[in-house]
Amino acid sequence: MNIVIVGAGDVGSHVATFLSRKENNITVVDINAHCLEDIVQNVDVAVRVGSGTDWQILEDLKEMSPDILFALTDSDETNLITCSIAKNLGYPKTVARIRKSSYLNKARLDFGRLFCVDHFICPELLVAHDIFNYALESGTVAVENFAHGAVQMRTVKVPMTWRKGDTSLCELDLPKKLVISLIMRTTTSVTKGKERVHKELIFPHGNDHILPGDEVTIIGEVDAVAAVHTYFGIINKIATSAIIVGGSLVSFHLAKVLTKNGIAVKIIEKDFERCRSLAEQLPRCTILHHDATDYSFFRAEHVEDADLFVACTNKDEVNILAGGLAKEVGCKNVIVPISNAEHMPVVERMGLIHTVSPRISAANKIFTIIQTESVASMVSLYDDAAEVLEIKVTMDSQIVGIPISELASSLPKDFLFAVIQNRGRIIIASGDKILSPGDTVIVISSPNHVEGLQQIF
Amino acid sequence: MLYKEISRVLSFYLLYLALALGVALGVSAYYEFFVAPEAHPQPHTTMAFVYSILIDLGLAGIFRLIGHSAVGRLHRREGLAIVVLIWFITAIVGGLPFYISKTFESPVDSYFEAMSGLTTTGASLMLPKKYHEDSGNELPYHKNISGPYENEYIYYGTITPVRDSEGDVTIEGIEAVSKGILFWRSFMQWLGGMGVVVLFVAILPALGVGGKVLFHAEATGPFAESVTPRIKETASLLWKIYLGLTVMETSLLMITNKAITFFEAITITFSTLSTGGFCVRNDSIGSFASPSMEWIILFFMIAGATNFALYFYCLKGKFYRLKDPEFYLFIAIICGGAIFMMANLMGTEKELLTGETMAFGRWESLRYGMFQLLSAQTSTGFATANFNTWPLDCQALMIIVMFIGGMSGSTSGGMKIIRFYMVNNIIYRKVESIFKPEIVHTFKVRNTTVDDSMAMTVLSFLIILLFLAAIGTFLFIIDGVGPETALSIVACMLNNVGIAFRVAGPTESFAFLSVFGKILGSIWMVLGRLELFAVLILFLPSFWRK
Repeated sequence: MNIVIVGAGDVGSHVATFLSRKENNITVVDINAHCLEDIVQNVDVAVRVGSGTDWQILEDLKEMSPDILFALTDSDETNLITCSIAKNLGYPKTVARIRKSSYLNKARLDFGRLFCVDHFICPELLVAHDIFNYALESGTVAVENFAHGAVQMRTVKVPMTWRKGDTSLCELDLPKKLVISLIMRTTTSVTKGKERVHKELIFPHGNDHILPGDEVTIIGEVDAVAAVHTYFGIINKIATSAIIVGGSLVSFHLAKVLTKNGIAVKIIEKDFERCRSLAEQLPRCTILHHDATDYSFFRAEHVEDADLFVACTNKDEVNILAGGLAKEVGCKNVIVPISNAEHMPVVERMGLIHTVSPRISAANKIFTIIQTESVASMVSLYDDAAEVLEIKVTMDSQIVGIPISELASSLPKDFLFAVIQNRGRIIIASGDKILSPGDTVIVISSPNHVEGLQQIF
Repeated sequence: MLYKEISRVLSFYLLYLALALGVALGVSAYYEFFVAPEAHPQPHTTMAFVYSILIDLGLAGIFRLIGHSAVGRLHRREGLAIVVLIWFITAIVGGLPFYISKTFESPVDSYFEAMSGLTTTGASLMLPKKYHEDSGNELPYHKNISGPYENEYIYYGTITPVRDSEGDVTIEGIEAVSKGILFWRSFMQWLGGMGVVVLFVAILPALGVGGKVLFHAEATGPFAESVTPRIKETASLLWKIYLGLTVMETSLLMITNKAITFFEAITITFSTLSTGGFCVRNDSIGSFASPSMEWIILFFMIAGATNFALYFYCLKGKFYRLKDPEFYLFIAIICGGAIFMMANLMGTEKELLTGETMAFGRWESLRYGMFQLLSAQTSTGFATANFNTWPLDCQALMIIVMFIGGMSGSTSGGMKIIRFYMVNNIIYRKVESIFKPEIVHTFKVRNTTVDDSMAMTVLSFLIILLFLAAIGTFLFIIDGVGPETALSIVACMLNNVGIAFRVAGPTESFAFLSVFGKILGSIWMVLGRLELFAVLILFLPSFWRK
């Protein structure tokens, strides 16, 4: 796919990296030549110095017949104008990143139509919703919805109290209407005096086991998935109070959605002017003007009693430090959005829960957008080690009419059918089920097979 | 330095090199088993290629073992190291067939010939051995270069002649070498022309970002120019264009000249498009004595020295892309040079490679003058006439255009016209700013504004090039080579040309070089082919430090 990305900032460069690994032809446009130099050295993309709002550059780039344009600069207005120019020059599809959620509001104006934007992405809002999903269910690591919300995917951490580690999956009496789709096992081994953390991703089949401490990803009907907590014995507690460190855009969106759900929110922000503007926009929150990494202040504010502690400043380092301090004070649920995947092991070792940062979230969303042909929506898990795909079974597919258990031999081992959706009915893809044309299947696969899958279905 | 990662990539590379050797093996086996023995009286070399492939695979295995735990992440530093290592390793492995088949008796000669082929220099060591008529003992060559600096050279030939059953010499020199070896020599030039690493990037799955570093370290010219966003596609596109030109030239040569064999046509094509210059006959292109063939070769020498991205744009119908200062300048230099050569050659005595002498007519001076000038500028190194006897101003111009070279992004050597253009611009602005210090000037090349750091790079390139030329000349003189020869062979090695003057002239070979001279020459060839910087970084201690 030929893609033009405008803006080589944090989000833009991450998206470029992500998409170029998926064998797309990418041209990145930015005013800042230094940003572009960084990208060129690390990623296989072409670059162009200039502004996205310069029609001549966009016209020039049409030479490589682009399929889609992403406007991902920090400025909403630049993005909107870029999309509008691009669309009028004949780009087939435009996507704009926005920071102000007011552009998403269609009450009075449809900004998508006004500026010729096909899709809006608001990464900060996406992250805020991600964090909110955790807040609702403790012990959950990730939640994702498919098929217009009828099917949910959820990753939970199996508590140490789990006693059925020696029973294989097919003998385990799992709740109906869900399927165990991935197991992430962390084992520590000591070799040569060095402690080594070994991570293993399992695409579970009938004879695998779930051990205490595993991260298990489950896909199934929304209600069934919600009940899975009781099955694994995860203590479920509804949060009533939350503390957010940092007055970033994510914090703002998060505070808004939390207060809407009746959770008391405190925001700690260093910059006084920002505090004022937050206080104006979020009248129901308590805004505290203080440094985010002050231990005694955390004590004084009784951080240990908060049900949820979120550190979402714009800096990973500050987030990790603040999160660590909150853990030290005694808060149980500490969430830290991380943008650099290399920081994740450190965060995990500190016992913090991490979520994706705005830029990763944006990348996931973008991937969903460009795959809208036969593969409908996608989530990548564990830093692209596994991918969840929603695929439409076509009329001339080779696998129609064959029971899934017999397909297994011809499909790769790191591939799994999770759910079949047949005319609105949700069917768990057990061995005796048969695929028919027009079905939507949700599968989990290693990213290596994604290309091949489009051909099979 | 991640040695494991480097080993891993090298092991993959050696597997592909085995494939290339396999092609030459096929040619060799064809001449040994499928052709009548009288059509190929030269020694057979099939087994030499079999052994070379086995050694190559063995090396691949060793590198594989060292790099088995590599994770496949290449940084810039490793990428650069890999490219330079690949060039040296290819020359060593590529030299094996010469040595194993006993074409050359010395391993240094084999390595020199392979490096000369791979870097598309085309400086050959192949020289018939001379024997005493009665006793049959091998005789050395005695060469005296007269002039202000007299030098005497004594050296031996390298190629054993083919004898008939009575022991009389029937074929000697290059023509006495096995067809398989000659094919391999030209094939190596063809591979080295567009770049072995570029080919490697084009066909190797998923080298990822590392591939980009590799590509830019090998592609010619100061710009990281890519016609498509993904480096792999760019690389395979360039190779497709290259392949297309190869097919075109071979068929043109076959159609226009009935006397030429397919073997000759394809090997000459390999050497033309890569601007290499190995020929399968003793007297180079001159021995064919065919004007139409010379014009075809001339055209394809220019084609090889043209930026390959331009072909891509032309194929896509974007002819406005030809509006490029580098392309204009190239055409201007060709036309101006041709007129200069013609004017100076007319009426002088010409000496053909076959030894005949006669005076140059108007069109003949254009034909020979332009061919030799472009053979030097495009860094090909074919010869049709003995330019050693030409007027000195013609010879001087040939050395100057060797340094200018062809366009960036082509297979030619030299500093490239784009750098020449940039240096001229920079100097012009500098001189202007001396009397008008307030002036703010920028100039653009390929849509990029040339900033200070880019100007610095180009100027340092030029300085290093001149410095290497000077120091190389000095070292050759110390080694006992006459000054005129020394200057011309340094220009020849550094710019990958393949022709030089005086004792290294068109009727001679490079067999007079000492072992030191050969090794020095081979290093100068890689420096020139990889455009200096990539090789020079290997000599920085901080490059190897952790």
